[in-house]
Amino acid sequence: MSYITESGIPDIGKIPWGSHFCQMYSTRGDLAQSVIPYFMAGLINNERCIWATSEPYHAEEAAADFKKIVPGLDTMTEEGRLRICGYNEWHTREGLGTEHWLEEEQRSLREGYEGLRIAANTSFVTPADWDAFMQYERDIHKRINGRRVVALCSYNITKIEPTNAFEMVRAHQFSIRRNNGFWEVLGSDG
Amino acid sequence: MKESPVSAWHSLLADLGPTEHAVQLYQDDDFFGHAVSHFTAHGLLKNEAIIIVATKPHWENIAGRLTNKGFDIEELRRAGQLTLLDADETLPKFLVNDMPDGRTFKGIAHDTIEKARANGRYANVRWWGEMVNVLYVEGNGQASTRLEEFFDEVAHQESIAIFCSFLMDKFDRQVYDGPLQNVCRTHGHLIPSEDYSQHKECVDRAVLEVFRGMESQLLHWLGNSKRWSGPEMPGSQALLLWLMESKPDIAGRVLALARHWENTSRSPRERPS
Repeated sequence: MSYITESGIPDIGKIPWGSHFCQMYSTRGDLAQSVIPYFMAGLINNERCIWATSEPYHAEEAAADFKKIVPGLDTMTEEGRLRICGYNEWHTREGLGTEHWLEEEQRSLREGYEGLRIAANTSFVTPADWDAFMQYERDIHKRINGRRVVALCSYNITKIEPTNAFEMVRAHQFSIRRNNGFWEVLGSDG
Repeated sequence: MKESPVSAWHSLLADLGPTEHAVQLYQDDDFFGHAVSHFTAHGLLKNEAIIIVATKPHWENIAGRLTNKGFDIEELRRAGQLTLLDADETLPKFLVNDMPDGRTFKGIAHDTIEKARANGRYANVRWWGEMVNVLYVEGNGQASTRLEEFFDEVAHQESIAIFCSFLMDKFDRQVYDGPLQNVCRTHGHLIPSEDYSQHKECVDRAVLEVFRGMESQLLHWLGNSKRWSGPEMPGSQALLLWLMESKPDIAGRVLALARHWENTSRSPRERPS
């Protein structure tokens, strides 16, 4: 089994399993141009993919855009290879905990997938929930290290305060942001 | 005596466990007394032994608040659950040439803790003291830091919870020239302010103002802040420390503006004279 997998995100390249990284995005286009290729790479690599969406890129829009590029989306969804859902659907059903992600990883491996690939847009987090959400992020950070999981957390950088941006960066292994049309990696450990 | 709105530091001090070492930065006696009496009261309610090493005026502040909370100070002292030492009288016992003598200090500390445990009647011990602050305020920062290091060793050897209070302005540029970093080095938790929400609001506002037109540069810097490490503290205070370390010129402007916003957000009645 490989220790790395293709991120699919232009300019980023391969990432190790257990990667938990954040994306600073400004527009819906930033999301479309990074998260869709991210999941395409996961599907090509036989990974189980879960995308928890939120404003400004909702599940229906994301699925419609995906369909234009990837044929057979409905079949993949039916097979459980790809799930695109709203954050409320995911968090209401699964709760805000790390354990279920690890259970999903185990289930994916049992079912013959290479691992689990996750992306979540965090724009639903309210200021009142911020501290708890950061605690959840730090927990994920610790728990998925060494697991067959890669997790991409998208943060709308136009709406985030400096302190929150600082905390966000520190709760992930590295960050990516769009700079002059290219995605660049910031704060990588190695 | 006004009590402030509930903040994260309330639960931290209420549940401070063995070997944990926390510190508050304060500028007014109200926040000082609120935090120390909160730490003490929760220890008493958990049937822990309490050691207080205070200057006389500060003891009066703490004792008044504990009495208001319904504690009988004299009875607690008689029962041995509360040990009171005078900071000004205790300090000279272990200072040699204005520096703390580790052996003498640790001897006093271990004896005091052993007595406080009262042959096992109190399994856990909490210690609040301000001797390190007395040294710092007198301008002897080196001795203050050394004594804090001894305290940290004692906290681990004896498995006790220690809480300290420093008369230090979190928005003063000068404290970032070493004093605050020394405080961070010797403590596991930093409480920089009574009101974390207000602290964050002032820092965020100041950062945005200083970086206006340079938002992209700010994001680039923030993206590389990952390696900075320090004790547990609110994100806004960690941001200030990181900024001071990586961009000191800019950080000075951020601190000045943050203080401005803090003063502006207070009502005239609450502003320090």
